[in-house]
Amino acid sequence: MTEQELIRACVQKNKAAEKELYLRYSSKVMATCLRYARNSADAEDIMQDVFVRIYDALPQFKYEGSFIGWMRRIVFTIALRKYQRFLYKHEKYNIEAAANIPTDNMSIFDQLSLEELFHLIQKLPDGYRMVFNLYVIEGYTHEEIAKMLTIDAGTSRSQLYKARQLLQSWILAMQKINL
Amino acid sequence: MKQPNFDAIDNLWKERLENASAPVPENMWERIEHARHKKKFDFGVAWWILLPLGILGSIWFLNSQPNSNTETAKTNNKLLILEEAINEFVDTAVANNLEQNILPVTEDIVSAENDIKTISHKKTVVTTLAKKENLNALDNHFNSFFNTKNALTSATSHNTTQVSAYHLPKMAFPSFNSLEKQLPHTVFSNFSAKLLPPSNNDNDVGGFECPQDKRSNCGKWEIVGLGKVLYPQRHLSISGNNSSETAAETYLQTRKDTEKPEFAWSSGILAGRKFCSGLYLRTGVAFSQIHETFTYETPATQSTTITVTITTVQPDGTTSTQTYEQAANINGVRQITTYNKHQFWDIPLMLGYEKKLTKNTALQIESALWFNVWYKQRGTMIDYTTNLPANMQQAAYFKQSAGLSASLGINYVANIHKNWALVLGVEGRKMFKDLSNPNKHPLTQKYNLYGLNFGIKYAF
Repeated sequence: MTEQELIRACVQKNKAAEKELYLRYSSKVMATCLRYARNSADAEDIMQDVFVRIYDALPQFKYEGSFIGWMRRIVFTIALRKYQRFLYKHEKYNIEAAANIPTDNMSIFDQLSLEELFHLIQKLPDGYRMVFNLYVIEGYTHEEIAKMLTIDAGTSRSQLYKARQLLQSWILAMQKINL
Repeated sequence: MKQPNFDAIDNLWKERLENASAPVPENMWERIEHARHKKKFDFGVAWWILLPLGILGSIWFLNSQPNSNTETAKTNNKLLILEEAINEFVDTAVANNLEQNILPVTEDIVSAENDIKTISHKKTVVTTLAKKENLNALDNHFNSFFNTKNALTSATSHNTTQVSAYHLPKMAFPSFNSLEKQLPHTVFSNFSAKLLPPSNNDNDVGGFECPQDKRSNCGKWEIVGLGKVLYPQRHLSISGNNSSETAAETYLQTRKDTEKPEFAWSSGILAGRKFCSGLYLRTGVAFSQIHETFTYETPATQSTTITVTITTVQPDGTTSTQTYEQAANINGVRQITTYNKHQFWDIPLMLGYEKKLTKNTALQIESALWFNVWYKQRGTMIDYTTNLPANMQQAAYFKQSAGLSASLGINYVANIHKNWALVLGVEGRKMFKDLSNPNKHPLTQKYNLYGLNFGIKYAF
């Protein structure tokens, strides 16, 4: 069954198709949830809400973009709703304060497991994590992110910068430990 | 300052995470199913169940309320009687050598009979430790009591869920690829529509997909719970056969003098279909009630009896009871006010047009033909033969038949939720049917109703 056929069957409330859709995409959705969540437990809660929302909203899917991209957008929406009140609306950190973390030797990056990468992202403050995911992974611009999170574009830039630095510092610390 | 090279690291993150997969907890599907099942209770279901129940319940409640009548006597000499009673009471108290305070312990109107002609007031006073000089206090109390009580008053979607796709019959065009070539471009630009490719379904050769902004809320079923508050304009006139009779004219004037339309209300549920053109058709059922007051005064002399019962506790602990009764003719009139009701069921056939104003608001113009079943008339009216008040139902002054009425209304619609909208508007309705029973009196009685519409609409 093609993706389009599967979606149409789900719209018609075909139970088997709904299960098939879940089996086909749940692992990718789970990975997305892990990127946006603070921890695994939160990721599971988000995943549950995401699939409930997906089945409700399937009639609105217009086949104009990729289906997985549409689902990832729902993940973001649900996660944003969960953490929105914890987001920093105005970043006060000094961007230049810690701009000297080396970024050239990242050989350890390939040695990190996916689980460790998720863990690192989950350690970020909520706002940093959102911006990092949206900019680095999803490819949105700062202006788009600012609109989505109702923050300033400058705040988005600042939070991205801080997120990168925190991640770099944690990765380098892991590198030193391994040495 | 040298900018750190984050782009390369960003790429590393993106490569590792963009299409990553992660193990899913084993019970996740069950959790999702459970959450979806819980979520299935929505307002749509509640609407279907609660609204009809609410309307029927309200109708039952209102219909079960008895007509409330009040009878008021207007007199001018009641105080004379009371003063006599009080004086007699005081004299009796003095005669009994009561030397200490007289304290009223209980006082109440024990009975007030419905028939204004023989209203009796009873006052029970228990006296203890009576004292002569304080009798004035009791006197004042009595005066105050009877003055403040009327001695002769008796008991008296926008939404985006629906993609409207108009699929063409399979035989209309040989293939989807040739479709665009065969239809002139203007067709598409006029429709602002986009061609849909054929699906794998054999019967589907593609078609037009209407843009959401132009097709939202079109082609939907709608349920409307409505309420109306109306002013009933009554037309009471002499029917053709009797127009020359003086008696009929007198009767007409009496009816006009004694009856006054107050207000009307209507409540019901309508269901129908709104089409993509903006036109909508609805039908349903509603219950309506016209309220009037009937006021009548009998110019007769009234007779009133006042009974004062005094129970005294003597200083030695014994009690004695004395009853004082005063009867007198009082000059006055008896005024009867009855709240009349005309009740009927409506079955409308409504045609309307809805014009979108903004994304979430719209204007509706609607006209309807209402099939009215006159259900019941309750209350009092003047009888043509006796010229006295008579019960409407007993006298069968009205025909319990059916009739037609026509209405025109304008409504403002505001979407408040995906499927829900509030409706507020004005309506005028003309009722064609004469309610009167020509065998009983020579008048015709018709109504026009004007007022406000308010309702809540559920579209799906």
